Amino acid sequence: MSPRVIVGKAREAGLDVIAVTDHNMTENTPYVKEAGERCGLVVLAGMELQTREEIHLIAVFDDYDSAYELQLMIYDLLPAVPNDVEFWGDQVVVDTQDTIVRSEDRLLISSAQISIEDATSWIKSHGGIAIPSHIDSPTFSIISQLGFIPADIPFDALEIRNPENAGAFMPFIMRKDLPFVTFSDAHYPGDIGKRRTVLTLGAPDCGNIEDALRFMGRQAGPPS
Amino acid sequence: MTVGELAGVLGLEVLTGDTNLDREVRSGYTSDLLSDVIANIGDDAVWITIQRHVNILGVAKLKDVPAIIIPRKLQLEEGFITKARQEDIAILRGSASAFELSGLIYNELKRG
Repeated sequence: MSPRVIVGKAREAGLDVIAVTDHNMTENTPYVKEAGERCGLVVLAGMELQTREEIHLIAVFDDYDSAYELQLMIYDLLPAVPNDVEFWGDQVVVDTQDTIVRSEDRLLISSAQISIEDATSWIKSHGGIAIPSHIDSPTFSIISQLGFIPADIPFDALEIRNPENAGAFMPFIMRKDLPFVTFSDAHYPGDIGKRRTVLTLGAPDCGNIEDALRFMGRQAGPPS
Repeated sequence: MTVGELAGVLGLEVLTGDTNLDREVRSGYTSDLLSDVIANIGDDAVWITIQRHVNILGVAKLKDVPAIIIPRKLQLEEGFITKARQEDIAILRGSASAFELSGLIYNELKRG
């Protein structure tokens, strides 16, 4: 997606903060960040990584360097299987002028050989936010892959597509003070802002987001 | 056939000492989706999977699985083995793939 289009759509949708979380890749972040800076949109650096259990985990960082460090680690843990462009489409990095900077040849839909625990620990020890994606999805979700969410993994929140159904998942969540959030998981410009989470932040950075999520988890308790 | 006999005849590594070595094995099930195993694994069946998260032990316990068989010499964490022993589940490991292990085990069990 074009950074200008992403930023334009996000502003149109009234969003203040977005994160770029391509699958197992973060290199598009700097260009979207640059485009965002021109119009006051905060863009966090991130990735939706796929662990060896085939769980999708969102990692978000303030700075691109940490996200890029994660990408380097993840690349080493991905199988050396080339992308089939015909079937899966391009895996490209696009700059603010909509020029393709580079194309990634390695297939990014694969799983990285890292456990959900180790991936989450890495993210947390590098100042990031760790949130398992679409826990209500029948595929690639922590519940579809592991049956339940263990209490001892230090997630910041759980992302759910349909927050109104969160109650149905409570029996499968061992830690009861984790807040639910929902994101658009936008794969196309038209999806940007379709789902969103409202947080009150002192400043739009990971530290403040982490605090706001912790507060939200304590306040809300399990949804009924 | 017992878990111990199966491990012996197929040359599988036994990672949990004498846990369940005397338990009877009547069939097997190969799957990496926990919900599928819960729904479909039979009685006294060994479970062949590449999943190595500690949560699989909960499923094995629930379905009274005598042994989990890990293919391709995949690495296991120490905590996983300790927990398996606590829960009375044998962990065996082979160098062959899940496909090959399933075939070998099938043949052994059919032979009786």
